[in-house]
Amino acid sequence: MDLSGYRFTESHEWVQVRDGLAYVGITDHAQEQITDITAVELPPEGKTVKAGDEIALVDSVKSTFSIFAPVGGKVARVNQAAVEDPSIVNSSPYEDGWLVAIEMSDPSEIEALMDESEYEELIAEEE
Amino acid sequence: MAEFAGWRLPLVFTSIVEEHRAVRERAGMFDISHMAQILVEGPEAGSWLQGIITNDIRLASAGRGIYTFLTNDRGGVVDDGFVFHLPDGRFLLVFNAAREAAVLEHLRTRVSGDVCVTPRLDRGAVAVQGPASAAIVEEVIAGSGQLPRRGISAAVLAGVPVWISRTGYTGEDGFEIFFHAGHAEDVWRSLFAAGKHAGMALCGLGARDTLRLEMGYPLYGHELDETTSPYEIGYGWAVKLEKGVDFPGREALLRERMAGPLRALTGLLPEGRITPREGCEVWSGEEPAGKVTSGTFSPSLQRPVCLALVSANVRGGLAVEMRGRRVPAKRTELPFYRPAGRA
Repeated sequence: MDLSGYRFTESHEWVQVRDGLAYVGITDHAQEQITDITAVELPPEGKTVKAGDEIALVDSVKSTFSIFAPVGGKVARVNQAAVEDPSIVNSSPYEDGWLVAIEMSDPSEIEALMDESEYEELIAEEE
Repeated sequence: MAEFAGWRLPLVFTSIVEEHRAVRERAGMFDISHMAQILVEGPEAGSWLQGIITNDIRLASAGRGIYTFLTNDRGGVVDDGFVFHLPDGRFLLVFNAAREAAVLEHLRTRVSGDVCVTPRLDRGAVAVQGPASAAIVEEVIAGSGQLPRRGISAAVLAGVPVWISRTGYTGEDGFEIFFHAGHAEDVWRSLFAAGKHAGMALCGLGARDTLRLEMGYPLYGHELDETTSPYEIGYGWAVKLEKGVDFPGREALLRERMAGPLRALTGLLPEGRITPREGCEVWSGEEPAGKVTSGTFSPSLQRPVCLALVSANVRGGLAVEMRGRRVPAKRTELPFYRPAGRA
């Protein structure tokens, strides 16, 4: 899969700008580690968040995982499909399984995040 | 892989849910070599054990095992596990890996008479569990299907001498097989080949935990510790106060049985889809009522379930606190899930 337009956090979220909104989800590596996802809790639309704030919960058979906002702004959309069928976060973490879309207050924040090759290095180091 | 009591253990091979379902529907194989295997032998081994364990050793005739606790003088649980009375007269104790040192200390400080207690660090073990396990194991050990529940016998598997028992920690029919660790690979490969066409999965610690939790089985360090008694977790049936022999904790347990336990292990079904985890507070209205000891998303029931130690005098509705929110949780009878074809 082509991830050249994606940016990544050290806590294994991805962010990609689509039509001016920063879409956020968890990486393929993260969903593999979390395994069988059983529930997703998302913030209310309109909520204001800062980069690094906890914005969502991903619950799996293994444990509960906090998801942090890679960038600050206002939550513009949440993925109700992931709430209704959390398994799509496992099966399609970069597309159907996105979690929230943020209207960025400072679009330059995204530049500070890792690109694909930097993220791959991070995973390699962790393993 | 995960660190567990000094062992490196597989947490998951493919997916906890897939491994769990394989055991409920077909079969799964677990490496349980981490379990403590302790041999107790000598002419007085049986009578000595009778004065150590909470259960009645006479219920374990040669070729049978019993589930039991070891309790401290306050009636708290030092460990829980199986005592197998081997057909040759010796006793094989299978207890928790994380409690091996505590169990050995408990036994050795009490050794008297002609009894020898030996930790068998050179032993490995695997469990084959699930409705298809009897057919699978029959292929490598002819006649193993004749073993009664909790029975144990000597056998040969792939040229390896083993002890095989009809026991497990999943609620399904199944076997546990004990052998010299040097033969582990032969045993594993042979069972793997026999289980392949039956759809047997390789299972990790993750599925072992979800399977035992659906059955409401206690896990030491979660439902059990040195301050929790067998009565509190509803396992009074494994404490035989009237067996005619004193054992550590008997006096305290007698008092507790008279007065009634202060807490009760309770199965809870929380509303919603978020799973309560160990340590979550349980509330009865505005009063703290206890704590969650284990929680998981039950693959069989497709909903979160948890076990909690709750004050015995609390009646009525309960709520579990998760991340600052109190979610109503309904009490339910244990087990959470009853395997098909098993009482």
